[in-house]
Amino acid sequence: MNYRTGKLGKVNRRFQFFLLLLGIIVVFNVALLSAGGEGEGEMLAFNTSEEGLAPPGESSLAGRGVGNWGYSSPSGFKLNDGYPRPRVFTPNGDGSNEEVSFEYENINESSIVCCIYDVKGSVVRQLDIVESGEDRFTWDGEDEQGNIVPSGIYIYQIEVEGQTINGTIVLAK
Amino acid sequence: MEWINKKIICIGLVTIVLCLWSGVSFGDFDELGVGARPVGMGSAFVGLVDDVHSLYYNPAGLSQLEYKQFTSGYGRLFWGLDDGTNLGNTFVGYAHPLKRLGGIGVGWLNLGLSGLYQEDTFILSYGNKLFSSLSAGLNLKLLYKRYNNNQYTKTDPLFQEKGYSKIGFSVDFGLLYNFAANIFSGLCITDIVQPDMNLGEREGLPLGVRTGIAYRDKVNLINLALDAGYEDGEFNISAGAEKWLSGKSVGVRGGIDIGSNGFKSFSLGGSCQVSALQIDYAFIYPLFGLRETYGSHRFSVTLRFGSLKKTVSEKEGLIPRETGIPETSLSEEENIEEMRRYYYRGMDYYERGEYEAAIAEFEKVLQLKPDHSQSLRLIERAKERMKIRE
Repeated sequence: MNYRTGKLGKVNRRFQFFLLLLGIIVVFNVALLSAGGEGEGEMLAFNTSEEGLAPPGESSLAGRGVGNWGYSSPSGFKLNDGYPRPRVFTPNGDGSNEEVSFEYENINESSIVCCIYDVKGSVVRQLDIVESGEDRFTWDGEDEQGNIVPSGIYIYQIEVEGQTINGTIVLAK
Repeated sequence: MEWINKKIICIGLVTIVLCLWSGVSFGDFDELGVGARPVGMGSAFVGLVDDVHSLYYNPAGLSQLEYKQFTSGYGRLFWGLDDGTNLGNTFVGYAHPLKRLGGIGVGWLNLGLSGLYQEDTFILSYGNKLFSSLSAGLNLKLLYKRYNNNQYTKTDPLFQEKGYSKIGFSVDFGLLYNFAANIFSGLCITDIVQPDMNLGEREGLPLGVRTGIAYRDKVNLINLALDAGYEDGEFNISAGAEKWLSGKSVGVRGGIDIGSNGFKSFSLGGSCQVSALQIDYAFIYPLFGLRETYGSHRFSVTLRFGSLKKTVSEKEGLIPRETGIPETSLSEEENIEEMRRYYYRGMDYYERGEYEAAIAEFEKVLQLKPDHSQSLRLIERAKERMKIRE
């Protein structure tokens, strides 16, 4: 039977529109949630600190699988509370927010590799961190050729002791 | 048509060479793909462009739309990042066939990073035939991006002086050529005017070039596609395959996407079609580089509506050539035209899984040409599919 004709067709059409509306509502709700007003600090609030839930802007990221779930990391590495910062940085030579900084604790002094990817997943830069006791490294927004990359969203991925920590940062020009 | 073929190849080669010399870089308003169906095929869609997503991948595809389509989709990219950020991609689009004037479409695309950054693209799209086998299309795009205010941006001179948002305009151009039966090739050049979307330092968005070839088997309900692209100093190749089952009520697809800058991903997807409503899902996972996320997930809902008959009977052009209907005798011209209309209408019903209607149309062809083999074969297949469905 042709769905366009008859009573069944009308019911079918109503059902389709109902499903479509439902789909649109779901999509927009998810989209709105994704665009929702989480501030920079709030986004980094993870229950990873020994004291329990860290206050907004004072959180830490340890090895993979630790951040959101609140159990302790077997790794001797963790990013310090509130890092990387600033999440939106502007490498334009004006002296303000020139680079994004990663501060960490590396108890075992393990070797650290940080890769920066663009939002498609292509490698932009690989930072091999030499342990100097400073417990801090930065990305100045440059690619492997020394050019400042275009503005946009970037993903960092830190690999240490076989574990992975990743997240997003934004470069503005 | 040979000279047109040569011309297209020359234009394509010149454009690619120009792009290679332009030395641009990559970043915001990047081509991340839209729609669970195209992304499920590795985003190899420039040559396929047979639905509303044409207005993003290749506006020339709007010229072959047979009915109105509306789509709404959301993608969660790199789900499970350790910092808990939500990277989302939303697309809403509507495409409207204009009978002999091709097709028009409007769309909205959003890329958002929770609480930090948003990109919006508003698209007005038009596609039409230039010749019987060649279509062209144009996108006019309004680009808008904004950064959220936080403790760091508040004190940054860039945001103090330039504000938190930027608007720009851009243009895409697309071509689609049906150079053999069921085989289509497409070319899409994006951001031709290279608008400057930075707050401070001037820098144009990179020009992107994407070409693709697609094979559409309307009888066996199989689509194959291969795309190659260049943008921001990076080459990219993607390939995808799609198969519809159970009378086009279920679809499965897969694809791969490989970039020259260490990017590799695979995608798997599926569709469920209830009459004119189609629900699509795709899962994309990086094979290299980014690890330990739950991959990217896309979901979209597409509705086709409006009367097929109004458009099909009046449209010509980007349709399979091998119909088996003779084109010789001028005295039989009207008769042949009538047969073609029945045949194509039958094909459209067949594709949509409306087999009873399809058989009725093919039988009309047989009344005019009783030994028309394609119609006989398709009637058999339609009956088989009806049995499977029961």
